[in-house]
Amino acid sequence: MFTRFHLFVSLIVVVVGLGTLAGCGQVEKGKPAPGKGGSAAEAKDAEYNPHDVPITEEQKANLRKETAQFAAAVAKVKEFRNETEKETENGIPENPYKAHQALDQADLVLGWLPEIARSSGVAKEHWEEVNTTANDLRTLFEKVHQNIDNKKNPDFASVADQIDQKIAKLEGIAQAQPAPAKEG
Amino acid sequence: MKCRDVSATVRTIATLAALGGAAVIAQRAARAHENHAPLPAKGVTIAGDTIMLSDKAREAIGLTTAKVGLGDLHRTVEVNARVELPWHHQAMVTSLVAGKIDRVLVRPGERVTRGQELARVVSMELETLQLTLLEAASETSLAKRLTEQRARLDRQGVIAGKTLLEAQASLAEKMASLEIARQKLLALGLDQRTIGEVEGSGKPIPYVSIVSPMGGIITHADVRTGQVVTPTDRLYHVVDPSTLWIVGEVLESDVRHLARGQSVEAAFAASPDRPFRGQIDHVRLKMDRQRRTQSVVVAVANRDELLRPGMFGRVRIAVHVAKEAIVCPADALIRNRTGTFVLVERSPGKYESRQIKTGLKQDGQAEVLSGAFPGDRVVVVGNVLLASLLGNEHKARNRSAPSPGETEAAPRPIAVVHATVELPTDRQVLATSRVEGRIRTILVESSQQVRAGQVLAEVDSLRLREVQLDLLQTLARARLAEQSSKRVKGLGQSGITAKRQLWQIQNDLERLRHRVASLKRQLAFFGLTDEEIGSLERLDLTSGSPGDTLLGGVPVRAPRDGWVVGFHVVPGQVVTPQSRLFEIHDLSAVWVKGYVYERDAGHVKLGQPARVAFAAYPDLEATGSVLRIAPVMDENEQVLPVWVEVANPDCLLKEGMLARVAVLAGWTDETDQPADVAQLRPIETRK
Repeated sequence: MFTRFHLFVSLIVVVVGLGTLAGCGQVEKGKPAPGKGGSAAEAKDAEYNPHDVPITEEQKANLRKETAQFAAAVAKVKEFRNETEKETENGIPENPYKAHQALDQADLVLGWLPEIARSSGVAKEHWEEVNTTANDLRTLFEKVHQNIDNKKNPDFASVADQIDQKIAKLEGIAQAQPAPAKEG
Repeated sequence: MKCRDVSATVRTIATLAALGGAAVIAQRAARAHENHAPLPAKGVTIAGDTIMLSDKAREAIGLTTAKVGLGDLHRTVEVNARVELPWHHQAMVTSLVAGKIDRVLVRPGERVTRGQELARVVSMELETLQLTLLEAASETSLAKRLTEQRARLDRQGVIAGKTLLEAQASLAEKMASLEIARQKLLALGLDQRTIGEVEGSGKPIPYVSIVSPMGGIITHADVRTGQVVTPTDRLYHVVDPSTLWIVGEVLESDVRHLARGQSVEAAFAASPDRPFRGQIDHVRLKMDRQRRTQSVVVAVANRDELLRPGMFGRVRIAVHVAKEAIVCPADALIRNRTGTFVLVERSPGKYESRQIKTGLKQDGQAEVLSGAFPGDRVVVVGNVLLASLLGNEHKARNRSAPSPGETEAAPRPIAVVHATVELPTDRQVLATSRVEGRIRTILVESSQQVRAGQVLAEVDSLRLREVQLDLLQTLARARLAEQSSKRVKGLGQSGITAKRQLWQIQNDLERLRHRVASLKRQLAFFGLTDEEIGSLERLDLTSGSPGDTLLGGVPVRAPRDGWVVGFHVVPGQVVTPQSRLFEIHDLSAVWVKGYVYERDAGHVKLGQPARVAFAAYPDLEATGSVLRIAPVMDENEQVLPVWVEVANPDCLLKEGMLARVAVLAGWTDETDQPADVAQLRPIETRK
């Protein structure tokens, strides 16, 4: 005879079994990557940083116009490099807004750089170098950005030489390109 | 009782526990794929579109990356093909005169040269014309002698000037008649030398030779000695197989890759070890609606005559070559509902999903059109597992820079329907001959663009020659009559001649002028231009042979601008005014006919925005509006036909191509609006 007790026990066993099934193969949903927005839910959980203001769409569009040519894009990266160095020369900046903006914009331009190289006529033989150099620069800038986010000494000096070498490489490629035709 | 209850409970619990355990084991086995252990529960972090893996996690799934680089890719399309004879390598032979075959000189299969005699025809018409020639020659000779004599007498003052003028007028008329007789014999196929011999000897020739218009092989001979023939009977078919066409049938989905000059290799069962190579000569502009194919024509040399028209084989076309394209392993590509993406290694253990657009694929490599660049390392083993962690709806990062104004949302379609490309009837015309005759020359090629009025071919017509000669003769008579009229008028004023004579001459002149006008209208009907008729009027039959100036063929002109989508005539072929010689399509704009289901029919209005996509060109679309809606439903399919007009300046779209029409929402005005002609453009420019 099947009583309520039997039913209760059966239900417990089934629930435990389902819980075992659901529990397998879970991955950790960690903190958002440093310097990145992450998902909306994660952003909620992350510590609110009033100085890390995201780049607006209008800013992105303007930046895209300014960096339409490869040489201009490289020059812009150098500008952001200098801005970052200036804002972090005294250690942890009190108001790191400008540093955040410079680093975020540098990351954008470096992400676009291979496509800018293609669309502005950089020779194919240089594409790989442009791509890998841009990625290396992103990684180097990310280190500084991570330090700022973690309220540590940005220590720009430790990566400055490497950043300068990479930018010099890009400048060399830019100089090797013929000047774009003037309009009119 | 109690013991039994307890044991039953224990059995039930044990059964359920066993089932639960089996379920756990099964799901573990399902998750373990790619011959690796399932992902460890720790060591994997997902942050947006970036995945971070510990060394152990990478090792557990055997994660492997490969580099994106530059490489050459090509794609080959293989299709069925058949061998055809080009139109300019064949000719049909007919007799220019009605008569009876007197002698047959060649047989089918024999090789002949250009101008070689094939048969002989005896004809009463030939006999009559030669007699006319001899009579005209004799009369002209007499008139010359009379004129010379009267000239001498006139110089001596023996006869009146009027008599000399009349003699000269008569000579001019006789000379015109002689020239006309010569021209008529030329039209029958006799040459100038033969005609001269007939005039000189006074002996007519008994037959007309039928000669081959080109060198080649006789493939057809419908000729027997004693056979009565007319100018419309096809007697011989001569072909020159030194160059043949291989016509491949390419599927609609591959049509966009075709272009003139692409290399082609063909193979046939008759000579399996001998490939035939050539290049695409042209692509025919009509689709086969049943097989959904388009014909591509390749010209190949066939000097050893291994190929024969009618053979079937296979053709391989190297349709696209991407030189130094960005390539990545095809194994790196991941497709989900939002598109295709790859996992790019930012640094060891850190992988970023990136949206990618691909092109050609060959031998495990894919052409990257956007999203990845040389130097990027992409995950090729373990990417599917990692992608499953991101989820099916995950939208990868689009590395392309944003363009301004990309904030408008695309209009929602209210109906998406199947469609076909069609050409309105007013954009399809036929070029035909206005007279019966035989094709003298063809001046265009298939798929060629032509202008309205352009001469496509010429039809040899005895009737045309007769009318031209009639015009020349009438003009000569009219000139003489005009001179006589002036002369008699002067004499009449002096009272020398009666007014009746003047009236008679003026009446003859008027009649001749009417006849000239009528003959000019006939020539215009045949297709001659005013300029051509004017140059005929200026000819003087008495001052030399007009043979080179007379038009031997009735021009067949294009009725409107367009493209020659096909013709099935060959030189020498006899045609009538009913024969469809050339089909011309104006492909500058086409209609796309969509079939709207009945449930959506009420939402579709004239001028409503519509977007059209084409099966043959997946990268292109056209945005326009509904141009026309059928007044009645299609009874068989219960659909409502609607039309969208699409501009087609590059002639990409062909009649019969498949399409899909999305009729869009966003229509706010109740009244009908004029429809826009949709313009074809690449899809990525769509806002």
